[in-house]
Amino acid sequence: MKHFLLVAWVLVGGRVLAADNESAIGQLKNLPGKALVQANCIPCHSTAIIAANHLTRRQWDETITVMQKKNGMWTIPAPMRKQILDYLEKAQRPADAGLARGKKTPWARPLYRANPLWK
Amino acid sequence: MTRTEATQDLPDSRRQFLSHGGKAALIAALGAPVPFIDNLAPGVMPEALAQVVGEAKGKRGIRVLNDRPFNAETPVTLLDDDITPNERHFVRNNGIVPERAWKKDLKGWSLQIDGEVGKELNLSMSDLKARFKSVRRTLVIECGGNGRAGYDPPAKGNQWTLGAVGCAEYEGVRLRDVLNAAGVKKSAVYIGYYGEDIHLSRDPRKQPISRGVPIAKALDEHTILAWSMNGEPLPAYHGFPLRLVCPGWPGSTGGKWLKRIWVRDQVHDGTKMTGTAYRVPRHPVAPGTDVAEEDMEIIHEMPVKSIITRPGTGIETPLAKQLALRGHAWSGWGDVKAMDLSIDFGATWISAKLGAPRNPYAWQRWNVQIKFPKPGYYEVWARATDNRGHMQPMLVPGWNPKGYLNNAMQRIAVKVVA
Ligand code: HEC
Repeated sequence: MKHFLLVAWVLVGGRVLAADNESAIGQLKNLPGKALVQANCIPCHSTAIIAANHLTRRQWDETITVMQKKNGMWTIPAPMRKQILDYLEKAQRPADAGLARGKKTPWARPLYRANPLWK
Repeated sequence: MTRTEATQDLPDSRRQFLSHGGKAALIAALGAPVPFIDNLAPGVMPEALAQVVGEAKGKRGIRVLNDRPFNAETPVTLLDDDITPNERHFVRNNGIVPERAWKKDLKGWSLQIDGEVGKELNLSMSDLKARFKSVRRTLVIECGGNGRAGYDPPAKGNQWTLGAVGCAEYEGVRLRDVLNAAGVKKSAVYIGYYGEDIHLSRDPRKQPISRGVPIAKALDEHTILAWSMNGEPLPAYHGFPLRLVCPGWPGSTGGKWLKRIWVRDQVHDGTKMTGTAYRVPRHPVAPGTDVAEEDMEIIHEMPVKSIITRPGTGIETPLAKQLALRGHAWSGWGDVKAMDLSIDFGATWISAKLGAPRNPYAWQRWNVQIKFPKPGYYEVWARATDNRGHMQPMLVPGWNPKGYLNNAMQRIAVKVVA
């Protein structure tokens, strides 16, 4: 019941709040599922930490599990989890040319090259 | 100079090196009227470009990585001071800054020492100041994840580049004096700290972070409880009213907004002590490997490292003049004994003048003047060597799942013009 209420809050309240919840620092790409990510992932921290991370679907799945097991995130129905993962997999994947913000920093650019051992 | 000429007069090995990923950027850069970096003035990062985004009380010129929780690093050219001013010191917060810290309010605050001690202590700020000898120390604090952005495949967490480090002057007391006053029992193995910061979920039963160090490090003469930073009460982001500093170890061992130190009879198992947090694989692993939690070990000393604070990357300098370079070097293992630079991709090295630290675990100033042999594109590489003879690696060192301990040499681009 508690979980159901939380989900309901997230679905209704989250959608209303979503527009204001975007961090000026790291913004989420406009792809299907963004609203769900905003609703579920922004009550605790801003979008910045999500936008800065570029992971595989499996790693995102593990991240959600960590959020639930250690950080106090609620359970979410399987179809919703799938939609969130679909979004994260597309928007925040390791091959993203934009990669992490840090790599775009002009003064650090010579330091950060792709690991040549990893192809 | 045409584009092809730019790389033609380089030996094969060097050409290959350049083509490994930087070539496109390099060629584009050499072809452009402003060398290398479109929006960076030669020399020093202009403050206008290093503006704060988001909430950042008491900070200037710092680059915010996350606004909630607040995490920010310092552009490397703004780290030139021997002592990093508070407004320029990086911040790694795991939770929400407690109200007390914003209000500078000591009401109801005390530090509790308990666990494997003969006598529990509950100390007010005036007890701390009156009962124990105060010390002043200039200490480097570096985030264990500084340089994380360099790992590929990418590692999870804030994507720190070079600036999650600072060297400030702290005033406080030795932790060991306080622990000895409580009487550390033989059974003591570790300490675990608890702070007043609030978990992001606002669940009062959760700690955003509760780490610690083995009892030997806690009793080390250099480990301190600090109430002041650069002559001011600790700023809110830095842990008012009291923080721990365990110099040479990851910044996360230095608990902020401190309220309790629990002397444990086992390795502390608080938040971010277990799992993969602040741990690296026991054995080197190939990039991208899944590492089982039991194969991860806690990070202790931070490796030797240095930064180039002058000039900034992308500078254009006349051939006729020597170029002055400077920066800082430090190591979690003690003093740095040598600082060398290369302008030929590591083939030969020029030693820099290296100053003594103000005290152990302060960073050391280095300086050098370099005359370039002919016009062209150069990378200046900076390499520190510590007391143990350990040097900074040329490339990003051992990949690890959480992207800690990247102490690769910093490199800057320099264009020498006739
Ligand atoms: C109930 C609170 C809560 C919710 C909801 C939550 N998180 Fe987190 N998250 C945390 C905390 C606490 C941290 C640790 C913050 C830090 O270390 O700075 C964190 C950190 C992270 C990190 C960095 C992980 C690392 O290893 O450093 C990522 C990525 C992340 N969250 C993604 C998500 C995503 C995606 C969602 C939604 C599916 C989500 N979070 C929902 C509390 C939460």
